[in-house]
Amino acid sequence: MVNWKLAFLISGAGYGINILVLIIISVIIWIVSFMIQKKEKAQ
Amino acid sequence: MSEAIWGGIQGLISGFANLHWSNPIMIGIGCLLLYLGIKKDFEPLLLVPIGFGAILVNIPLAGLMEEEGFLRIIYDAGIMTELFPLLIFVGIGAMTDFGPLLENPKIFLLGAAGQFGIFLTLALALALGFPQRDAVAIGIIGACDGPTAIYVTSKYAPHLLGAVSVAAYSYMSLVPVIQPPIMRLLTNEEERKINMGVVRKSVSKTTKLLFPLVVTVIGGLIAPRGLPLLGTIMLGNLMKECGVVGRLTKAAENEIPNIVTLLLGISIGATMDGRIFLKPQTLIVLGLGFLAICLDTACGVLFGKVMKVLTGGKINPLIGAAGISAYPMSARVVQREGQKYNPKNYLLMHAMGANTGGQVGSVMAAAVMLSVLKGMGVI
Repeated sequence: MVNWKLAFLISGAGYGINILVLIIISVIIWIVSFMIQKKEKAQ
Repeated sequence: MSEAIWGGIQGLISGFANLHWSNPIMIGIGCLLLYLGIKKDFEPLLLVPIGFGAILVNIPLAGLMEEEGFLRIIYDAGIMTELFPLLIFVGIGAMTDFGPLLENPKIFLLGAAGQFGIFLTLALALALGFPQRDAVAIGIIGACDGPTAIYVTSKYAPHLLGAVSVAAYSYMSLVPVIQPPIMRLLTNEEERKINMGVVRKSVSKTTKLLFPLVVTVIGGLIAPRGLPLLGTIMLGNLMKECGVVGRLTKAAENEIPNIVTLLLGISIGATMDGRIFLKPQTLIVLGLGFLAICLDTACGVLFGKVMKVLTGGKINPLIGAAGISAYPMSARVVQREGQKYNPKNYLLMHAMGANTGGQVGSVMAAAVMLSVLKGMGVI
């Protein structure tokens, strides 16, 4: 029997977490990049 | 005397006598792969060894994939241990320039959106009744990333390796054919004409050095099951960006991937034994893989449209199609499509950013999928 609930739980959770991880990395990179640029400008 | 001669002749025709009906078909498929690689220039570096491996393994009585057969030794050493895809990843990391992505980190989100097909196809494969481990391997075709697909499949569904890897590499090479109709269907002419201008921001060396470290640590902590994939691609990139290990970088860009690609290709071809490969299940796998890549492209373009609205029309939605991992092919497709409608439009660098985002996104998607499934007790 097809377990639709499990199928959508797995794919939904997986895709959601994937986007979340990439958002976190993207934000960290943006912050690091911003801080470095600020420091370079100050110098 | 005549018995000895007859015995000798029988020995010579035993190859023909043992030919299974599926073997000639698979030899034909091997020849087709060789034709696509040699004549049509579709991923020749892979399709040539895969095609030849498929021919070799379908010649009966040669025993190439039996115990101590040379293809079995290569397969056990590099595929079963997951070593070959990881070594390829070191090379990919060393060859990838994440600069365009770091210049505009929000484009990373297109790389995330472009992985939708993986998860929807996983759900579809589960719904069609595939065992959970097989469904994981089928879904990962949507990563549009050969080494990731091979790594995951060899780990969880080695019996599908031939079908999954042939699907992954064939569809990667068909990106210029598959993507444009979907891009045109989901965008209007006005959107396709949007000029994104030239990126003028420069990325400091420190940022370029920190990127592989941040991705490895954050990604590894969140999805430890995928750390081998993330770690190897980021190691290759760190070697390239640090600039102090030129010899290692050169080896990672050339010698290592060249040797591993040959061994990987021939051992994938060796999994295409007709008796195992020619099943209705293989066709379903190929169909689902195709669907995964179409969905990736569609979701990337639709997310590009959302970003266009959020940025007040500054983002051309076409670059969303480059959010899949087929690097750098899909970025080139975006550039070509964009220029068709606006000859002054240079989307290549923006698309490259989305494409490298897709590269990381696909690896991260595999890592997340493995960790989520492990957490749920599915694998």
